Amino acid sequence: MDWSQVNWMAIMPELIILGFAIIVLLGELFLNSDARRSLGAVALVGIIIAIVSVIRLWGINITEFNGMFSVDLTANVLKLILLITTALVVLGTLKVKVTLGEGEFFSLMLFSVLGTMLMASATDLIMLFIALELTVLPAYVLVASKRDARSAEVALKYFLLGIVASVILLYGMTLLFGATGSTNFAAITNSLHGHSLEPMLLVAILMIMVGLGFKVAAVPFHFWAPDVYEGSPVPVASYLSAGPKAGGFAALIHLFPVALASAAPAWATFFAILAVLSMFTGNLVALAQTHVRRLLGYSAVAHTGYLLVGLAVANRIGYSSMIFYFFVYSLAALGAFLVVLATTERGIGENITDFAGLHKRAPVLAIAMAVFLFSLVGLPPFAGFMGKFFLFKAAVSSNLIWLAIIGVLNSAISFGYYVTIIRQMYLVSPESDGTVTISKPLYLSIVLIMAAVIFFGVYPTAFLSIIKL
Amino acid sequence: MVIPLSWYLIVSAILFGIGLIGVLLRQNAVTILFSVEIMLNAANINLVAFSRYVTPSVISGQMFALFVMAIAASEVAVGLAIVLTIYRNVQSVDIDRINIFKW
Amino acid sequence: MLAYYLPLIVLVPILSFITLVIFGKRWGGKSAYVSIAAVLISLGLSIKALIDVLGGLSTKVLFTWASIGSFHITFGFLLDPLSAMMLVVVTLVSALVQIFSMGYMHGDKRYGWFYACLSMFTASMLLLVFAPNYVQMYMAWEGVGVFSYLLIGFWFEKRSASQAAKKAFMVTRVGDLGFAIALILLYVHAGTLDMGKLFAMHFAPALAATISILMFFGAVGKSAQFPLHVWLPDAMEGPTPVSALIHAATMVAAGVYLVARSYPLFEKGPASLEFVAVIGTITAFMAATIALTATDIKKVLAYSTISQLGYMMMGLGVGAFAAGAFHLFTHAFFKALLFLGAGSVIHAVHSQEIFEMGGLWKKMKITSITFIIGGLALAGVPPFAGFWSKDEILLGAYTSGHTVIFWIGILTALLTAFYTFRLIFVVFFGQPRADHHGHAHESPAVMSIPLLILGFFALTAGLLGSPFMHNAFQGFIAPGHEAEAINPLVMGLSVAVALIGITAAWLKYGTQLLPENIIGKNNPVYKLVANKYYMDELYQYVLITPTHVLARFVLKFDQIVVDGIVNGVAKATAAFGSGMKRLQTGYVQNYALFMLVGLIILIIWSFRFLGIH
Repeated sequence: MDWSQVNWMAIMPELIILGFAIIVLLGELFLNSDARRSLGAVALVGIIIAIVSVIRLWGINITEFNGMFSVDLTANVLKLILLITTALVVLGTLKVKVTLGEGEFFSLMLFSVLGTMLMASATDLIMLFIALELTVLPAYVLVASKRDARSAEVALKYFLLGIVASVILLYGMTLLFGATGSTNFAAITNSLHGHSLEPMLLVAILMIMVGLGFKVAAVPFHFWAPDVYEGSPVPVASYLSAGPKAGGFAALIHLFPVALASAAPAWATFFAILAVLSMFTGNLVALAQTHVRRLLGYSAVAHTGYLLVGLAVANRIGYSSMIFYFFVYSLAALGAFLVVLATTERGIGENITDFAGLHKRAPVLAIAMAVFLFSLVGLPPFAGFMGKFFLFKAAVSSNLIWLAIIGVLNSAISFGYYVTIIRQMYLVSPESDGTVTISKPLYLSIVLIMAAVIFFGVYPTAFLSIIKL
Repeated sequence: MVIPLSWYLIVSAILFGIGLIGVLLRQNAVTILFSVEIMLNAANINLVAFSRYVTPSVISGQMFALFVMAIAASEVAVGLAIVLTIYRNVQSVDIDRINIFKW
Repeated sequence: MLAYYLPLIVLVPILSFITLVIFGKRWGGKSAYVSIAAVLISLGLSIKALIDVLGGLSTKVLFTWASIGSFHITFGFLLDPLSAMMLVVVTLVSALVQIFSMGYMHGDKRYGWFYACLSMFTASMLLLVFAPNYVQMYMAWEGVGVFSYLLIGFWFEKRSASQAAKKAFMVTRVGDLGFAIALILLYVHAGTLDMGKLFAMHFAPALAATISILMFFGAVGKSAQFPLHVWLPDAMEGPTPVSALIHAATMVAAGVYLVARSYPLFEKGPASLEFVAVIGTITAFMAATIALTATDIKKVLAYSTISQLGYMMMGLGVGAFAAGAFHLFTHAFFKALLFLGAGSVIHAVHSQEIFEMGGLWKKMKITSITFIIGGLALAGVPPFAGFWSKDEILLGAYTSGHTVIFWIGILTALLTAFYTFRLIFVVFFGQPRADHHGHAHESPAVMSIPLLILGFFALTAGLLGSPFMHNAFQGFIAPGHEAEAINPLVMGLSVAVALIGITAAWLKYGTQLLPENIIGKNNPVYKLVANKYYMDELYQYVLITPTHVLARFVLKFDQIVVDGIVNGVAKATAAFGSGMKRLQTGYVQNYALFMLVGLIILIIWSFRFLGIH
């Protein structure tokens, strides 16, 4: 391979993140403890530069490294979502005491982001597998970073389930490789073209689906999500709630509609089944929760269900709607986690009842939380409504009316648990009435997200025109 | 005598099954880690066998196997670190005793 | 030429709203400056728009709001003579009302919120005026409704105020239902809600008439036409400047604007125009008679507004499109003037009961003079604004052969002149009737200057459409509909009845020449009118009481049967959730097992149902 022929532009955002991850890590090693405080800001700068370089790649389609790595619209949009949400997490945690040294913490986060970005661009099974591992390995460490019994338990569960899912995914990949004789998506597409669905191929598809389904927390591969969301340090949970799933969805969009296009009717049905299971399980179990982050964990499962509707639709509009909904969901979920971060920072508990009277103690936090929850329910004029509208409309126009009805029904169920939080915040009087102060960067981050949730609810075209919907 | 591809696949499937049973039934967290390693190696056998029989002229399957080995090593590193943290906290690596988070 | 400044006209007040929602509490009294600056910017841009339109510009600036595939929702800014005229009226009146409010609302504890609402109300109204399609029209229409609800109920501590706000909201909602049905019908039949495309389409007359009449229901609610006029008098519970803005120039005009905007559609089904004319005439006459007996200064003006809106509808209905729009234009000025004048009076004497006032002429010169100018305009005395526009409407009725409507219109004009001057003579002349008016004095400059400006317009606005200016207004608004030649009979009659009405009022209230009880208070007709034709009671007995009975029955049914079912479902759902959460056992090996079982079930299922062997 001639390295001078490689278009390094294609991988520039990843290289920037890699560079900054190493810089931040070295900073941990060589700086004194005062200077280390600014490493979060360094990481933020790195992410922003990466955002700029992703935008510079806009509208370009490149495939490099012998077809292992490709840049296209889907990859760019998902990378952008990932980078923006991560930037908001980093911004929110600038003044928050993190569980490891700042350098370790932020460099692990950046490595995980790097893995997710590579996942979004992977067009080869080898690349996809390595990228996926690069995404999750730092995440396991981050989850464990508090080093107490709770954090370690969650990390162990996440890790064990994660590697089992990885192994099943890998086994599926080997079968796919055996069935097609190639690891490259484009070659797989060619070799499957016109062939009927063989049993080995089907098993391969299902095993791959398990691995990626685990990544995006689809039922029945979701068990890690509530535990991790509840038990990991709040900044880590915030990060996990939004960004890393982008890699999973990018891989799903690249692998199934592209590489496995000939098997489309089969996997579309599987996704529909997973969607229904995820929606019902997530929403019904969330009804019975009392811990806010655990509730958000189940809500995340339910939202994976909504998102999979886009894959069940199995056409361009479905995927675009899914990406849009992923964006608005990530914003709202991240916002909700950051509100929880803000309250736990001030020693408020994480049970729903601990939010009692929050609107008196922290009016901005309360209204932000209400906006995020309404967006998650899917009420207009918030972004979540538009997201669900386009998603279910895509389902209806592909004759999946039953799926759209189930989606709407589930949105109605989900109102039941989101509203309990809002009720506590606004209608129940607080037990203590000290005002809750928030650090400036976290405040900024929450307000930015709230503005975005309202903006994209009122004017979704700003995003839709980007993803060419 | 040439050993057919299916023999390799059967060995691989058996190894995968053994690993899976270990993951599902053993109580020691470290043993579970080893079981996962067995499953990873089952996948590696698949990769090498397919590479030899399906695409004899290309070595991408064998390369894949090499990468998987590297990843397996790093997974074990992270896994053992987490198990160690667990042990420090509860003086045990019994997976059945790790049960704070549920429902 | 592109007019990309148009969105700013709406955007600036919205920004003011957002700013005031955030900072209004902190800034307190300074909030007014933000809002006033914003509306003045809008006014300036509106005037620029008007000048551009006079220069021959007619344009549409469109933005795609949301689109998916071939399905587009657009919003935009339609600029033509009608909308340009409304823009200037809305922003001008809004600016003057906001300046006036600096004095009137001085020291109110929710000052910032008040201005925030005014800003957003103005923005919604401007968005409505700009609407190039019915989706935007409907959304802005609802926005106007919501913010008027907030403004009417601004003093929500007062029970009557929050009741009135609720009533206004509910009653207009009844009309909106018709509007919504009309839009659905339109979309089903035409596949679009873009006005330009709709008006170019062909509709069967019956269908067009049905849709138009349904759409007119919306206007009946918003513009307080018979039989949905009952909310407007109650809405006087809001602060008086709000009444001047909402109930004179803007929101109530929205209904008239809707009809004027949709005129091509109404013309496709001529029966609908007859309907509009009849409703307008009934409203004009009935409201005028009620105004005769009202004794609350704001209620008199409220009924007079209803009556004048009836005139506008009458004008549109009989085919005098330009005349209806013209009356909308002049009425906005003189009625806003009268309301603000009433506000000034109320501010001075702290009462709304006219028979507790009197002799204010000596103490409040500016208010009195401007109020009388407004009164003359309302009564239709030449050369004041109201005369020219009302004359045009009556002329339209006369020439189009609507004889009955014409004579009722003349009669209403007589009543209008009478009740207007009854108000003026009682409030401003004679002796003070209650002693607490001793300290009444002229209002501060922020209140009197807007009065003077509006007084100027009440005096001159009509001339734009008068024969002296070659009916410039009508030619501008409706180039096709040339103004009718002057008819001496109509003009003479209308002047005569105005003078007769004023003289009668003078005889009765200005002097003591007429006996006190020329009409006995026990006279059945008087009772009927004084009780507003028992419309509220009618609603009470025909609608509200049966509704309550029904509601009580439904409630019982609801509590026993529906609640049972709903609670059952909710409980079952929650129980299901609680049961399902037991799957999350906490044992990681169980989770791995469930994942594996999930995989195996999927594999078996797919082999079975996809027929793969």
